[in-house]
Amino acid sequence: MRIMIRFSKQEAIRYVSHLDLMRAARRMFRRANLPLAYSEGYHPHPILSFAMALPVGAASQGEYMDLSLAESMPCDEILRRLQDVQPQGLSVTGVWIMEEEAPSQMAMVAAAKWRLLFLDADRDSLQQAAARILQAETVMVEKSNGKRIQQVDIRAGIRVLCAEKAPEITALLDAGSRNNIQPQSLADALLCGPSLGRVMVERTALYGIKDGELVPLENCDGVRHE
Amino acid sequence: MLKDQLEALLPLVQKPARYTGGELNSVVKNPAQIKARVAFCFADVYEVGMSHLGLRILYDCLNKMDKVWCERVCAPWCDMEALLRERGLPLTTLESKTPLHELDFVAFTLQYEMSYTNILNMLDLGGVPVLACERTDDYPLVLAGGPCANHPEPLADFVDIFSIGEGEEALPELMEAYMAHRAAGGSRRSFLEAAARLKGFYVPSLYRPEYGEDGSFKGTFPIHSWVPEKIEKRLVADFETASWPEKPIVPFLDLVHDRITLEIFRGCSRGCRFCQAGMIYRPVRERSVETLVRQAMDNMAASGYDEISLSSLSTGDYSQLTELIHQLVARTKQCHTTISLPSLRIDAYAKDYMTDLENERKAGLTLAPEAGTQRLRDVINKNVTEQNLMESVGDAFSSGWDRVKLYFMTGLPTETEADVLGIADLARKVTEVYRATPRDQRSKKRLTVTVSTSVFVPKPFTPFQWCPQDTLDRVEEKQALLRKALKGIPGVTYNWHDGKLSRLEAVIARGDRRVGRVIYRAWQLGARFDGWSDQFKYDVWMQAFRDTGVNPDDYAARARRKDEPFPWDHIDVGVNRAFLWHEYEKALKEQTTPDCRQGCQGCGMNRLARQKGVSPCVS
Repeated sequence: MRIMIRFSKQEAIRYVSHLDLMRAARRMFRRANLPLAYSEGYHPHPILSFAMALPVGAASQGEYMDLSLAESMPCDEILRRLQDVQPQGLSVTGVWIMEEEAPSQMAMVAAAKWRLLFLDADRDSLQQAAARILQAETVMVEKSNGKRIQQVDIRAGIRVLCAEKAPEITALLDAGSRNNIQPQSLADALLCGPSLGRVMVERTALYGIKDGELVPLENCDGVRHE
Repeated sequence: MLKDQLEALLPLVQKPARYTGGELNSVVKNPAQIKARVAFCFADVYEVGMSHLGLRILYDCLNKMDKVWCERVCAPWCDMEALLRERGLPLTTLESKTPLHELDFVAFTLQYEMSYTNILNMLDLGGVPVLACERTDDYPLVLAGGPCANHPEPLADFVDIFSIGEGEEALPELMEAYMAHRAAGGSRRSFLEAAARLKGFYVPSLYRPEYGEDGSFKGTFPIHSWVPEKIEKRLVADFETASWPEKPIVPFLDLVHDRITLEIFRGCSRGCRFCQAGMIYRPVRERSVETLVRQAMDNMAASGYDEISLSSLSTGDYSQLTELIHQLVARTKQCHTTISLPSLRIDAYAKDYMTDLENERKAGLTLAPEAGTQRLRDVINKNVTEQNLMESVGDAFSSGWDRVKLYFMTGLPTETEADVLGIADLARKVTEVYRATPRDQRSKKRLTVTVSTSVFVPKPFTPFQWCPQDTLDRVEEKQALLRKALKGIPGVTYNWHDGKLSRLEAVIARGDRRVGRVIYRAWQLGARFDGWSDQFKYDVWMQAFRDTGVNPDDYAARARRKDEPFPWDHIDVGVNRAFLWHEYEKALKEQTTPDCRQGCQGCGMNRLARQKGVSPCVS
């Protein structure tokens, strides 16, 4: 049986990298005695994937895992067992059955909602920067992939940007394989400079598309609600 | 608020999860209900510290006491240290972010000499005066234990109390005594005298080293008559039931060793002459299969780990190894668990349990012949033959292994060029065994052999404690010789340890309090993380020697006289000096000593064990 697990990543665990998070999740499943399905071959491993990786330091209320179990179990039982053994900072908030043939969660993701809390920037300059971005046709930021630095236009991926409660900024950004805007890129654009160490980032929701509209990932086609 | 200021640093450093705490099974208590707060400090980064079994055992052991709270601290990496100093923030505990100077005890485990500058640095960053004599009642007591506490003098000016031997019973006793002392109105400094009266604790401020006019070391003597001349190490009354962590901490970060570790026995009966651990952890005491299996299952349920490692000094010597492995494999069959056996002697590889350990294959086979010729192996009493080696690798190759690591030392006493070249010889023969293994049995891949040589460091409480270490020139000559000899052999890589680092290790290992001044000076000059090759600054250490007027060759390169006083003579680990000298003489005659499980060799441990009511050595 294939399941979708929604969870939050807060407190200490926000500083855990994606790979380390995957390992923490595998251990959580073992403690919960879930009947995991394993891959074939030389190094069998649990069949687990994540909808979307989070950058180190970002918290989240809307993270999703895709897990295969060898036996069926009721979702509320799975939820209860996981909540009993989850490590501090990782809260499982929902479990749903997925259709076996549904696309991977990673392929479902279309957008993400973010909350950026700026630590030392003032309200007015943030609001002005937000207004400028919304009016602009292009917004260029530097993006490095470790080896080279590129100039990238992120404007098209910024669907919603709200600075009413600055220094807290909320934004709905494109996410996923088609187009992906990193929250740091938006933060850099709002500060007109590097945002490292100057902003706390939280992902509040992940969205897919159903009937042309953005919906939370658990409401997409392929996820059963009984 | 301090917590917020520290959190603001996390996005600016590598691997912020080193500093967050909050791991599953970490212990948080209410300070209002606590009478003794301890910081268990490991003088290296989190990934190394959390791999250490001793920390896990003692952390749990102390936290089982209601009124004691033990937290952890690991050394901040250079980037974090720079930020802490720049912003004037102290080093704090992982669990509650309490600055070190606010606790009752700051306790270090002394695992290797080249971590000592980190110890001084951590004290300094934690707001604790580095020199013991500068600590007033407002500061914590600095405690230190672990293997290097058996030769404590280099740290005597920085540590208030050394714990000698096993800590599972000694530390709770110390805590009870401390809490009683404080409840009765006693001050921290005056507790030192109370600690000195407890068995197995060495308080260096109550002893005085003496030196001759020529600068030679004469001894460490008590200042008061009621302080013991010799401090006997502590042993737990019953290893089978000794304190064990049922719920191990599960780190988020990937560690050096990230798995359940079962301590299957303590001590070693082989008597390899270079090995300090084999001497100081005697007598041999095993845990029963039943207890070990129960510990493994409890630990897995509480942690979710999928790997179990069997730890001891020589796992192949465990009397019930086959049974233990069969039971562990049977109990974990359903849930894809790996069982690993580091520290397997070459002569202990037996096919009957190796097939159970198919998963081992991915890590590769590690063997430690230590010396390249039988002659030299006899000198060091590593009773392993070339035939043992070739049979082991042969069995492994025909079961599909294709990666082998071979560990050796250079600079062992009586070593000649022929012995060094013998290493290359063995490596070549191993590759020949692989080629001779039938194709349908062996792996499809090419064989990789890694030869690794470290530089021999003479250690206290071993038969070689009288020996000089090779000079730096000799070390480098031998490494060059071996490099050349290994060059032609396909599939063989050679790694060698830095001779300069080993030289410093040799100075500190057999050092006295004067060496402590060198460590202090080196720290002041910026020495940190000396065990890390990218951080090690040999020039800084050489400057420290010049500044303090200490000659490193006096400690590393000088042969000792038979009756010369040693700076560790006042510590009693059970094995007596006469036995060690006798073993040294046998070494020079290339005579071996059998495993003492086959018959007592009279090392002296039996006497100490009986006195303490611990059953005599396994025979």
